[in-house]
Order: sequence, then C-alpha cells, then structure tokens
Amino acid sequence: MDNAGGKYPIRIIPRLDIKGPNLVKGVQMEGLRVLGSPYQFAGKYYKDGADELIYMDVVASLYGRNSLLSLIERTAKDIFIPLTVGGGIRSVEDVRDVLRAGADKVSVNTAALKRPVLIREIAETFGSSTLVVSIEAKKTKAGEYEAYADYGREATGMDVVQWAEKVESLGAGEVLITSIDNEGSGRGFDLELTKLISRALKIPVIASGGAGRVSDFYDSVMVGEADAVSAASFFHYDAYQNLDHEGSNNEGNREFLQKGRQYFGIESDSVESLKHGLIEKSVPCRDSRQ
Amino acid sequence: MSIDIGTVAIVDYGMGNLFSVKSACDKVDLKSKIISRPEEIINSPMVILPGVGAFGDAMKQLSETGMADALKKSIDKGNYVVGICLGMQLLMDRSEEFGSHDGLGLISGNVLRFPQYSLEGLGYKIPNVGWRKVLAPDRMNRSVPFPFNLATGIEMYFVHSFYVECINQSDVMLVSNYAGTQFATGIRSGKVLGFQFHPERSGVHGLKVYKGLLDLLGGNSRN
Repeated sequence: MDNAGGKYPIRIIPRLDIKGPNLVKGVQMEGLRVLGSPYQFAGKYYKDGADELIYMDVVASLYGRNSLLSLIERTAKDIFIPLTVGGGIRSVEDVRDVLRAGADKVSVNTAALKRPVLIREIAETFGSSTLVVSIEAKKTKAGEYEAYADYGREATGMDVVQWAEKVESLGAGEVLITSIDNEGSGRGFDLELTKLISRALKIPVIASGGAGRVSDFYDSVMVGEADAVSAASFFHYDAYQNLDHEGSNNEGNREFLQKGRQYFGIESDSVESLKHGLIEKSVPCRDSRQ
Repeated sequence: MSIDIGTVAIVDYGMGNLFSVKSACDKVDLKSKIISRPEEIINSPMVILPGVGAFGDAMKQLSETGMADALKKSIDKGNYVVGICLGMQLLMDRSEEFGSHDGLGLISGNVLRFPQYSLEGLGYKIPNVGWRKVLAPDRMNRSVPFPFNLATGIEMYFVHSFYVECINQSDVMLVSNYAGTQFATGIRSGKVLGFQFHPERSGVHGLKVYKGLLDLLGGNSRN
C-alpha cells in the first residue's frame, strides 16, 4: 500500500545480538566476537534517543535462556523504551517467559517458518502488537527473494513476498525484513527488497541489514518506504569507543580502537548524531533530547 | 489478605505489560504491587489496568475473574482507576473490535478502528506504531497548565489499531493524530484516567505521567 505514514516520525532501532551474557557483533560477519555488555550498550542507546531496542539471542539454546531472561529483567528496570526480544522462541510459553521478564514484543522467524500457525497463536494470546515477525531474505540468481531460516543458514524455497503476506494474514503486528546479502556489509540496505515488502503489507515494516552511513537510513525510508530502520554494527562500533567496558574481556577487540569509526566499510555513528543527520534532510524523527 | 493503603495495584489478568508498568512505578518511587485477585484491589488508592491484546478477550478475563466488578466497586469507594493502552479502551462503553463488545463503562464513549485510508485516500499502516505527538485539545485554555507537567507536542510511544472517541469532550485531556483522525489519547472523568500511549515505554517524558500519578495520590502514597 501507499505509505502516508511517512510523515510521522520513523523509528531508529539498534539491534543487539546476544550470546550468553555478551553483546556480539553481527551474525553474518565471520565468527562471533564479543563487544561487551549488552546492558551497557542498551543504556547508551536509550540515552542517545533510540526509539526501541531489539535483543536477538543468536545462540538461542535452552542453556542460555536464564542468562537472557535476567538480561531482559535488568534492561526493563531502567530502560524505558520498547524492547523486542527474539531468538529461539518456539512456543506461546517461550513468549510468555520473555514478556514476563519485561520484554514488550517478541520476534520469531525459524519457528514460524516451521509452523506458521504459531503466529496466530501468539497474536491471539498476546495481541498482534506484541509480535514482530522477522523475515530473512536472500536474492536468488533469478532475482527473486527467498526466505531463510536459522540466521540465513537454511533456505526454505519460499518466496519472501508471499511469506510476508501470509505472516500479515496470520496476525503479525510488524515485519522485520533483513537482507542476508547486505547484513554486516555496510553497503546500504537492500532498497528493492524493503520497498517490495513495505508496499505489499498494511502493517509497519522495519528494514534491517547493511547500514553503513547516515544516507543509507535516509534511502531506506525515502526510497525503501520503511516505517522503521534497524542496525547493529553501525551503532556498536561508535558505542564501543564511548563506553567504559564493565568487567568484560576485551581481548581481540583492540582493532576497533585502532581503526576508529571506520570498520569493514561502516562509518559508525551514534543514534543521536544519526537522527540529527536525518532531521537535517527533513526525515521526521523523534526529538530525543532529554 | 489485603495490601497496604498507599500501594498502587497493577492488575494482572493475563493480558498486560505488567513488568514495564511496575518498573516505571519503581523508578518514580510509586509503591506498587502486581495483583491477580479482585479482593486485593479494593483497598488500594489507585488501580492501574494495563493491557495489550484483544478487547473481547480482555473483558472476558476481567468479568470471569471478578475484576470488572471489583474495579467498579473501587471507583465507588473513591479510588483512582488508571487504564493504559488497551486498559484505557476497556474503560469505555463499547468497542467495535471483531464484533461489538461492552466495556467497563466507566467513561462514556466508544472504541473504533483506525481507517486504513484517510478521507483523502492516503494509505496508513495499521497498527499505529511509534512515537507520536501528544497535544492539548483545541478547547483547552492555554493558560491552564498541561496535565502531568507535560509540554504540548512531546512524543510518546503508541502501538494500537483502535482508538477512543469520548462522548463528553470535557473528558479529553490529550489528543493525538493518525490516519487522518484526531483521537483522545489522555482521558479523565473524575478519578478515572486513561492513556492510549505507553507512558512506561516513553522515556523520561513518559515517566512524568507516573510521577503525576504519584502526585495525584499526594500524601497517600507516603503514608
């Protein structure tokens, strides 16, 4: 549909990939590297004016559940913006657990692909507004987009637009669309993909994967017609250099400090500075000065 | 066993974002407790009714648990009732969400669905998700202080597909706009209050609402 909602503030949503007690860098880049305490990064993003936060448990094992739940609890106690939690959510009970801990919304991908009716179960139990369906897309050789499960590791053979429409009809409140090809690359969002999904749906769409500079966010909204934009590395590298890291093992992270804000082609920036950049270009953002 | 006077009761009826509401209360030193039995709210000076989910299911839960009656009794006793998001919508007479459902009828008005297209034919994403401006209604005298120490035009976090239309315009404290519709987003009739946005998820400005609730209780909360 045409999206006249564009005149309302778009949302800027840092995504934090979580492994056990740690924030790790984007899943598509080789290996997982510890960046520090997710709680600390979340606190900085909240102060800098993030509109929401996403925690994605990238290991999603039962073993790590308690550590995730206590992180959610700690976050919900003094970060007063919406928190979406995803990774390893397979049932209504899993949803209840993370909401009980203080999350506002949940994100599902793999489990919904395996059993689409899970979307309806969650929407009926907790309301559509609680459910963000995450869709990971990869472009095929034929130029179509295919939905992937398990953080881009498993192809499903399903067309992304058809899946998005189905997800909407089953009761999803929002769709988070991630370009697997662009994720972590810093070369910008996949605008064709974003626009395809945003036009196909009547629910809000969050674009994700590929943010490398302020202009990418602009394009995602103005060209891709996204209602919200999410990024990980783009914010993390900047935050990393501006935080005193509490009790974390920084081994192997020295290169961030040496390379400054440039990292893997990403011109990292803070939420606050990004928003100023967007407001200058007349993209409506929430005025987050506190 | 009833809870102490001065403790705000946050109603757990299986539908709410209870923990963020509790955290916000904690942050402003508003003493609160999550409760799930109707007898626990009667002696509370203020009851907060949170809520996400479907109107019909929520009313069913409230009725079956006896919470609906307890809320009405609570009003009769002179206590405050504060509805948030779906909780605010439940305060109204009726909702058109998936059929027609009766609400608690504590404030006169109806709950309607946002149009997908405005009168000008522009398309809008539903639910309305994000930070939207909260404004004083036109009728409000500019010299009257804005409720809860808020400044007009500040942004709060919303996520909803339905909105409230009050019958008495004097019940409308705050309004917002979406999909070509101006709707009530802060309402008050006597000791019954409602907020369509999530003050507990709206950063420092949202916390001012909780501070305002603490102020409403005045000495009560510190006794």
